[in-house]
Amino acid sequence: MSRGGLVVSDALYPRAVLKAAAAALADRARVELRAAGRGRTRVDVLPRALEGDFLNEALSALYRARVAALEGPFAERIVERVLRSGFVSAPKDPLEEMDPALAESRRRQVDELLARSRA
Amino acid sequence: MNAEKVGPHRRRALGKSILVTAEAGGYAFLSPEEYDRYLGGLSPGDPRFDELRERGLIRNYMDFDRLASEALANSPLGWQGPESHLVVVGRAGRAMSLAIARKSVEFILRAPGPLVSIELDLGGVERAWPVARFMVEYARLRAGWLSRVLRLVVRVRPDGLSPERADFLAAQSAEARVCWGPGDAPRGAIAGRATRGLLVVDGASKNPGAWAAYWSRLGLASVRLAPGCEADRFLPFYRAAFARMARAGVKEEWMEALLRRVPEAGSIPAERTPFPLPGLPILGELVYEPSGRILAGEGGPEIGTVVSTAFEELAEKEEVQACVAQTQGPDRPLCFQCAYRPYCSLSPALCAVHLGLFDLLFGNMAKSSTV
Repeated sequence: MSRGGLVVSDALYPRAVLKAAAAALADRARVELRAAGRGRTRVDVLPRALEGDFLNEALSALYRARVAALEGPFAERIVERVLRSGFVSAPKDPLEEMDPALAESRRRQVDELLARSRA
Repeated sequence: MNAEKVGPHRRRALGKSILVTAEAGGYAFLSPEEYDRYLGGLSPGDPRFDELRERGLIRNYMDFDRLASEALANSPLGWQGPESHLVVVGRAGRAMSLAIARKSVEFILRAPGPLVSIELDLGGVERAWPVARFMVEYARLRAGWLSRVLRLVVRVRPDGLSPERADFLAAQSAEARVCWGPGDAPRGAIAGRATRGLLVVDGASKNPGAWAAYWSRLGLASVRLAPGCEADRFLPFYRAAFARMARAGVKEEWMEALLRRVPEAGSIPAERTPFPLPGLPILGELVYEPSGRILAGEGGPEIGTVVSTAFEELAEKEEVQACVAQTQGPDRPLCFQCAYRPYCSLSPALCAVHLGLFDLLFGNMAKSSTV
């Protein structure tokens, strides 16, 4: 990989953010991340024409992480509530459960419907 | 910005207007000068003050109890079950069995919620008609026993609706939806009476005006335009078709769904139509395949089968949990800052389409507003 490339501050772009940006470009570019000392990371992007795209992705991932940290706990509560209380089946017909004769009559109706459809 | 007076809001420039939206759904169109005044902190004597206060946009006059209940009504916390169930009765020459059809109807009617909407897609398979016919009769019968409100629609190809079939559907209070795909042209008669249409739009689709006129001649009340290509190719066709359809008196169903979610005149009506917009997996739509597999929306992952899965078991599926979590979008910056978030179902796959449709809707509203 050629020299040059980008050197970014770890304080501004944590390693997880750089990895997310590299993953976003995985089908288009080869990205190498190396510690450059003094709290910096060296980023080599091949082809170099995609360095700008890499930085865009890094900025997007950084913002995404901030939003997730801000909203995540609230969103988790909503998801948990929907999953816990939103998937409750509509009740079976209480009349059928109380009245076996009614249930039997309805079963015959469905059987007749099926027989007519098969015919 | 006057942080003590300006309420939390999102904004979007639409032509000469600036749309501002509050989390609970209140919105207003402001001119750039009005927006500057708003950011500086409106005084009670300002001509827009009362309106913006009523819509939850003035920070020091917010009625939190009311705003919270309005926001809740439009959030997943108010979700009452998937409303839309698409059953693929026929595909690739094969039809669903009657046994699977029966199980599918029984599974669907275990889903909670005030309304159950079932669309049966014949997929152009002639042998699927008797199965669809059984499902219509059985669903109507069973919904009656359970006192459930049921909407039934049968999707047919243009040559698949005979007068006899149309009469049967009408007698069962079911509607016929004629489906056109890429390659179809806006011509030809439909033998039976249909009320709805569906056009899958791809990059090669053209003549939106001819389509609108054709649907008007057929007497269709509404048509849904579905994206079969990327949003940047779908939206130009949609915009042109929508304008012609409006003039021809044919409703576009996606826009109708959007309209139901946006409060009239910027204030919140007493009863909002809840969640969701079309195309949202799980919370909005479940799909049933001829084999009995249940999918989380069209093209979504399998989440069970009508034979072996109970509705309440869905919450335990990882795919279901992932789909529900996705609707919250905490990790999506575009949703976080989007002015349409209060009205959107946050369906990631349809984000660009929804953005374009909301721009069309609010853009038209901005033009007709007094700004």
